[in-house]
Amino acid sequence: MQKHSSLVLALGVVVAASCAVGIAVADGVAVKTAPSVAVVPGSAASGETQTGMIVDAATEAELKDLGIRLKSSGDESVRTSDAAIRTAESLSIAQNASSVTATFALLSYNPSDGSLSSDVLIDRPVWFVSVRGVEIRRHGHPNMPLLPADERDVSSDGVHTEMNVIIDDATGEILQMFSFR
Amino acid sequence: MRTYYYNGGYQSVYNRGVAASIESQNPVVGGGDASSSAWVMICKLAGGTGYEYMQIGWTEDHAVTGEVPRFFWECSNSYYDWDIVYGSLSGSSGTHSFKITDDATNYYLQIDGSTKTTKAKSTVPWTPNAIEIFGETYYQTDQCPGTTSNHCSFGPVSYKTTSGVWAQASVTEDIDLSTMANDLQNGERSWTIWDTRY
Repeated sequence: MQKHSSLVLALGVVVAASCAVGIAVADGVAVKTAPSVAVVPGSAASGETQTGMIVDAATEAELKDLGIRLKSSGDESVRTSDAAIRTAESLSIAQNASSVTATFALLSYNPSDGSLSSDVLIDRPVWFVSVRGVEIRRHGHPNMPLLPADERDVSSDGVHTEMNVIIDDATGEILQMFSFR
Repeated sequence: MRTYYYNGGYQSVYNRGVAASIESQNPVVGGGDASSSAWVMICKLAGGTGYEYMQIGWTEDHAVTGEVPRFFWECSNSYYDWDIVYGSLSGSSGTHSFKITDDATNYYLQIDGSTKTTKAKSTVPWTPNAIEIFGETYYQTDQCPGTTSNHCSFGPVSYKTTSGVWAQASVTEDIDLSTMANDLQNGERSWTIWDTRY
């Protein structure tokens, strides 16, 4: 079991440690980076905002669009951050990542406004793992079926470089993965 | 380089949603960024840039999902403004209902009657004028959903008219590879697809 308290204060320690290869763990946040890659204070993994979220405001807004809310937890986790990172790294897309960070958090998920049937989770203990420095491309464009195959060029498409993996702390199951940047 | 191949149908019609049942299967895909998927979509086809769409279905994107299918939904407004979510495992078999619908303020992307994501219309700066329902692969070596003995079923397909009434679709077939097959006749709303190599 890992005790998760003083989440925000611990983050500075993790950032300092993240310049080396390997995994640093401190109070619910773990960072694994490649050499010369550091997590910058103020980035997605670096702190709690004034609204109580554990991600920055831009990420918070994107998560809200996806029906996701994360908040810090002082509870103990069942799994270690190392285990969460290993789960995310089992995805082949993570093999060339420049950094992988894991944050223990409470996830609430309510993708509708309540007027329709919806998958709803409330304060589910999860590991929020961000895999950065990867290349994520969209599925095909809607006009592609009408184009000759050799004109289905996606080389100019905007490519995302971050995949987020939400892992159920109790079961180790990947609940959801998403990318928005 | 990744190319995209399609097997299914589309209909050019102004709409406010689409609905279809699609069988979930477990096709064989190669490594790397290989993929096989099946989905429904609303999009701006005529007059669009190719980047205006919402889709929901299941996919095996090898780099992300490995060798198992997961539900996914992907929404795009432009070449840089897009997001994709991979949800729970879809199971290796079974038929699921995929639906995009709306009300006055939002679009809702649903699987088996449960909303997976909501998009405020104020954040969607385009009007859907087509529906698409396809199996999709990235490489010729990827298996199109379905086998010769176990076709992947699609439909019945419906779309939501601009007045808010659900209507029967009448799709136009599109198929890209000689290894792909379907039993879709133009104007139909239910069909199956398969890969002739399996």
